[in-house]
Amino acid sequence: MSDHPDPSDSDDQLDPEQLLSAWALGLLESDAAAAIEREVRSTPAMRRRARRLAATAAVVSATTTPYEDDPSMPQIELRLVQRARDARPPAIRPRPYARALVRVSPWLLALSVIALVVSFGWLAFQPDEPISGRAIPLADDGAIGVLLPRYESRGFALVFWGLPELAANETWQLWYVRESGAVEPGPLFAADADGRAAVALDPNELETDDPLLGFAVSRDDPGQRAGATASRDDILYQFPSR
Amino acid sequence: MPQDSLYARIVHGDEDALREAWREQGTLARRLARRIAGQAHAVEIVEEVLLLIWTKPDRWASDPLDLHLLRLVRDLALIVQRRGLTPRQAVRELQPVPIGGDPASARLAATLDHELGQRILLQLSDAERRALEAAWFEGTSPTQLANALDCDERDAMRTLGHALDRFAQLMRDLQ
Repeated sequence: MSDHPDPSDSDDQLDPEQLLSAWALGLLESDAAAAIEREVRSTPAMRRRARRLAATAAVVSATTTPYEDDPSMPQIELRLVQRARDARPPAIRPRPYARALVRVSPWLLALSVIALVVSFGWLAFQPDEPISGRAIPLADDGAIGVLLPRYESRGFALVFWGLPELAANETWQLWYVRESGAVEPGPLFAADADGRAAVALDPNELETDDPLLGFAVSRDDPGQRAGATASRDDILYQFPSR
Repeated sequence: MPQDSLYARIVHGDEDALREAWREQGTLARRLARRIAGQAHAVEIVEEVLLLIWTKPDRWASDPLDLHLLRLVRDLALIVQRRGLTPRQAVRELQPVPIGGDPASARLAATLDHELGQRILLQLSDAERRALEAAWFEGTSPTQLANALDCDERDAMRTLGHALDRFAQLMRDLQ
């Protein structure tokens, strides 16, 4: 915080102990704050007290009045996660309970894999459909997807219509399927109330040394995926052979 | 640092931890941002802070994460409110918190709700309550705090210190 007069300008200067609360709450101008910070770093007792004061102040936040969250919070969460992935790709780590599950029962793991495949398969495109610029029906549920080249001059987009409604904890997830067999996570996306969605695709992500074969789409709770990825069997949209 | 703490998981790039922070810690953080900067900016303030924490946890995060998140949200909300910037603009002016967390306070905070918080506030003296709320929610300087409390800065700082100590003590007593 830097909009305040500097208390060190006062004729009657306060000592570091007296200013510790103000420092811990970030109320001091930079020069005064730097002086207190030096004291805090060199004095363990002041450091402990400053931590306690700052923590207590943060707890005062609980006195604020509760209110109903905006209903768009799941979409905002998606936006946050996508921005976070752009800024720093997540490390793929199984959740602790998933590791425990593997120890407890390989059969449960097998069932989980089957469930994942069923989830992907439900959205699988029909084989030998045309490639881009034409609507391609998704199997079984009437949903339609189409790849649009040079979408808004930014590269490509996958556009979907008729996507079924998701449960509150579910999201749509796009996957990139590579020639090597690798399946990499692409963007999360949300459909509107009419089941429509457009996913802008970054050409730099599509074109790597490992050529892109196609896309897969899953519907699930990413938080519960337990580090699993899609497989080549889950491709829903196939590029032509090069 | 517990290996499964929210902070540790974010440091290791666990996306689930980011979602958990948004869902579980974000509610109170949005309330705080709303109180300081208004409803229109509350969500985006928390989003920007979580993004900072995720992107550079070594610079922006600390264990325990919940109180640290509240501190950053409060600081960013004050910048938004004072400068009339959007949260995305204001985040460039945010400074890291130069102090670590206090695990004991975090454990207490986890069970503190609005009603209990209000009960604790009501047990403070009027001056203590005003000092605490002005310092935390308004980022009031020692000089401004002295003016508001109609006393000198030394007394204002003493009142603020007492208010924080009494709040912490009452939190322990009432839980």
